[in-house]
Amino acid sequence: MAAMGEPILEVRDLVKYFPLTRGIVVRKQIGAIRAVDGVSFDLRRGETLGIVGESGCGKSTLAKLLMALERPTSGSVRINGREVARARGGELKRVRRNIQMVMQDPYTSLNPRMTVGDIVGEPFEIHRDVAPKGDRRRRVRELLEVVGLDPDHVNRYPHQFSGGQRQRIGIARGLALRPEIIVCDEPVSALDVSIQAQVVNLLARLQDEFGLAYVFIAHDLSVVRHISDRVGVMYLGKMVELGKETEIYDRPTHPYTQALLSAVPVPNPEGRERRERIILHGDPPSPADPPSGCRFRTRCWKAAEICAVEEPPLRIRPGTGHASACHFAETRDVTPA
Amino acid sequence: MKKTSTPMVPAGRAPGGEPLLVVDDLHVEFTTRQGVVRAVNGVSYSLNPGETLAVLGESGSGKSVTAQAIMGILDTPPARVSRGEIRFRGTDLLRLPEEARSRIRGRRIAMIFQDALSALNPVFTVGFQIGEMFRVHRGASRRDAEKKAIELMDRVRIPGARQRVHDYPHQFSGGMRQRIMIAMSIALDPEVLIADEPTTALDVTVQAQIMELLAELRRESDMGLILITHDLGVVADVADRIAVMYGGRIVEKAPVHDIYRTPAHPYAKGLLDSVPRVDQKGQELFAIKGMPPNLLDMPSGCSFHPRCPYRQDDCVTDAPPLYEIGPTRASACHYWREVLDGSHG
Repeated sequence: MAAMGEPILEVRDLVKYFPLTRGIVVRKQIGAIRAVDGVSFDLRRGETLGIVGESGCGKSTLAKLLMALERPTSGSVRINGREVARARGGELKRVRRNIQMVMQDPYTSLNPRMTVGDIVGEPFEIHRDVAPKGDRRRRVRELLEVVGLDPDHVNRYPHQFSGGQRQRIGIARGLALRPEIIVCDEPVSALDVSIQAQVVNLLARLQDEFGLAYVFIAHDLSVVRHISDRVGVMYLGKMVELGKETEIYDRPTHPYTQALLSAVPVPNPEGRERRERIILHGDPPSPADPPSGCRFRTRCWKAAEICAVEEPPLRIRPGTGHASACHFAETRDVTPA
Repeated sequence: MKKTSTPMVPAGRAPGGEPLLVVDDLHVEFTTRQGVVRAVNGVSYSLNPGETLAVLGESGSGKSVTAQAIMGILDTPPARVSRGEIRFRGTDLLRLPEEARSRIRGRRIAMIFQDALSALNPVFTVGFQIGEMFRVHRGASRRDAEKKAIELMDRVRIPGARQRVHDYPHQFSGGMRQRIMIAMSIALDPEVLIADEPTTALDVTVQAQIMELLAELRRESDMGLILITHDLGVVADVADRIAVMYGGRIVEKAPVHDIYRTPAHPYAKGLLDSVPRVDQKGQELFAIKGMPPNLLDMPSGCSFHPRCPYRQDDCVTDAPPLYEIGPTRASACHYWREVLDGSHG
């Protein structure tokens, strides 16, 4: 599935700080939350890049930056060579057409007062030149059919649908403008277990059918593994490891990735007594005041002096085939066979 | 006011070797404007000391309502236990007067909730809230209660317990709040601990810490643990036995190794088959078709039949009983033999 060639999405040194202020009348900035702090990657046509990491690692802020819902503090996001981060007005509208989003919670991301037809057709209202007015109804029915919903339900309201069906409505809306890139922010985590596989299958089918590229943000590592060609691991606003799916899962080199993978409960009780598990101590530090040098060093069992002084860049290191941001990167297999 | 056990429920093992806790043919109904919802429809399970029983199910399966019935914290009305028994060391809790029941609740049967932030009171310090257990149940003084609270915070490994005992819930991270909840629940050394999705709101590395902590506490005290979850991974990690719930009923009961190897109910099998596996990369995942049943409008016969690949005509008309299919296993499927065979192949 992994398509080669020109990247359609290029992210370079992306940074987003949220100011922390004090005072009501006179606002003084007293610091900043470093939500995303220097993230770079490429996404190619038809490819899926999984982004994993725990709450507070900046993955949702990253999604908003890609969608130009937040303005970056610095850095660039290019779609087909066009800068998104600084685009305004008509230009912004044009680049946005190419990148759409599927949100986590299908219960809050659909307007309860709009019919399904209006929700899925709303992108056509905003981008009027995409479909002529007379054609919109037909396009909406087509979209509903594509995502496996009954086109005759076009006049129903969101509350008449189950969670899985609502997520399909959200996906249909995302597809309306025929984007090349879809950012999925935890698209299945709010769904019942028996429904998750249906939605994952739908996303995979749509990718084949329309040649979509996905940025797939999730915390369920087995779902990410299933759907992704490449995976990026984030910790406290940094990308700490980036590589092909097999490289990350079978040969992780960053201690955080190793801890994360070993912590995932495996749905198979065989041999559970012998399973090696890296238990991290404490909680991630605050993104308002990250540790010096390597941000993971306060919880890392390999931390040495250099880790406090020098920040390890994300690059390919000797003996490993993919990029890792650890001074002491080395392969360790932590997932049980 | 130093009472350690409730006179109406004997301490120690119940006569006749009955398990620690037995839920027997429990029915719970909710009266709603749209009609009566049978949220729990004849659920039976048992728990032994030192054992971990996982109750697996999706939203609406009745797994949490059963737990709330055991705790005696159902909102009544609209909820009503219409039939069944909940025997704790041989005594039916449902027949106890409220006063006797409240002496068991929190003290001998305790519960941890999913969302620690909303389960903790935001305007009291965590030390005060943990200490409350000792003040209310044991009549401890404020000072003693606080000392106990610090001990417990140490026991659930909250760093700097002595300094943090005066902090408020919002000053703690999600994982630490869940530890505070656990500290409160184990404060009085309960014999049964019910954990309702204790790690669902947490990150995986924190989840691993919490599950490890629960396992340790259970080993130390011979406490029975009922773990309510929808996560097949968590269950495989810690459970001794599993009860799978669907549409208000138990559809399969089995020791953990058996059910993962050879599930005997199509729903359990479907759930296990839909877990992404490494060797299926790039292929379509197995997906259970359709969606969970609407409790107001349950399908006739077996409530799983509209989604079931093993369905025959009688599944639409006759609800299958929970068949004993082995000394320690049960399945509520007319065609459990076929399902078992399919699991082997």
